[in-house]
Amino acid sequence: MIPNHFSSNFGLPDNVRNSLRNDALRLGDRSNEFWARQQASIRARLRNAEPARRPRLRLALVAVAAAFCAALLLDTPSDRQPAPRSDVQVDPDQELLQTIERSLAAGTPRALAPVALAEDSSLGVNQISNPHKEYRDAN
Amino acid sequence: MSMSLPALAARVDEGFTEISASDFDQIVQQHQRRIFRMLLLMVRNPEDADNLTQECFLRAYTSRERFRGACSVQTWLLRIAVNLARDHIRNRRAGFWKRLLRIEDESFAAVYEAPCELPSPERGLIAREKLDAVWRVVDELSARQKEVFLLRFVEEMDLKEIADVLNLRTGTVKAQLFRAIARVREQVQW
Repeated sequence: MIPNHFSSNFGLPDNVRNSLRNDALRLGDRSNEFWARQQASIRARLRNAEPARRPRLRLALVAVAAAFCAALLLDTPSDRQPAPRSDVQVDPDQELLQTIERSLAAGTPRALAPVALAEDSSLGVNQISNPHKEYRDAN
Repeated sequence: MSMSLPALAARVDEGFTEISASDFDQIVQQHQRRIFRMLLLMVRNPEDADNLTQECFLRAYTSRERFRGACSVQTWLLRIAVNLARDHIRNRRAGFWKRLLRIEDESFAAVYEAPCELPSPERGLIAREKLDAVWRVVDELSARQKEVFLLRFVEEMDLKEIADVLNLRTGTVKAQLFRAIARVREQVQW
């Protein structure tokens, strides 16, 4: 627990606090030439940093503009195919059912004949196994 | 065009956005000593502290659009400086060869044990050895405790300001400071 007197004197004697502060000020103390040189260095780095940022921004803007122009050119009205418009709204479920019906009416394609056989045989197995299932369910 | 410091401060309160490089020069002049001192005490190497001070102002200038005046410029700059020092210390830890060669320890000694040429009345308050012992304990504190300790006793900031710089709650700052002082008191008798 933090004692009550803590907020007032922070637990450090005044002489220690003053000595620390003065020592730190002394350690950080530098000549005027040092500060002037540091300012000059910062100024130089700022000058170098600014132009480096601007061309990058300019380049990004040019790239975006070029991409926009390219998109406009590729998407000209003359190239566009008019989309076929149908007045009749088709129900997708109905369309799927019709497709299935058409496929069944056309018979099994030759390439899928073995699959059709396999399906027939598995159907037979299911028919055999079903009585068991019925028996199990009966319980 | 350069402007007076109060006028500049007013513009700074509105954000750095419109401040030119020449105006920023005045901010550098106003804060460079404090930023350098704080960095020096954190990284313990004058050359690194100089580089980091420059980096701090560079970052402040390049990200000035993000400064909205929610805190003072000093708080904002110190926040950048503390983050830079943390990164630097982390990177330095990774390069263990330097420590192996004790280069860092030598520079540490050069920073903390530099002879004081100017007589100071406060120097008589606490003996040099004792002061060095305090600095050594401070250096062994956790990074967070050290930051809090330095901001409080070197920069003489109040708990709220420290909390702003370190992005902490005031209660956390108080607890960290209490632990740091307890550690110093444990190790150094006066």
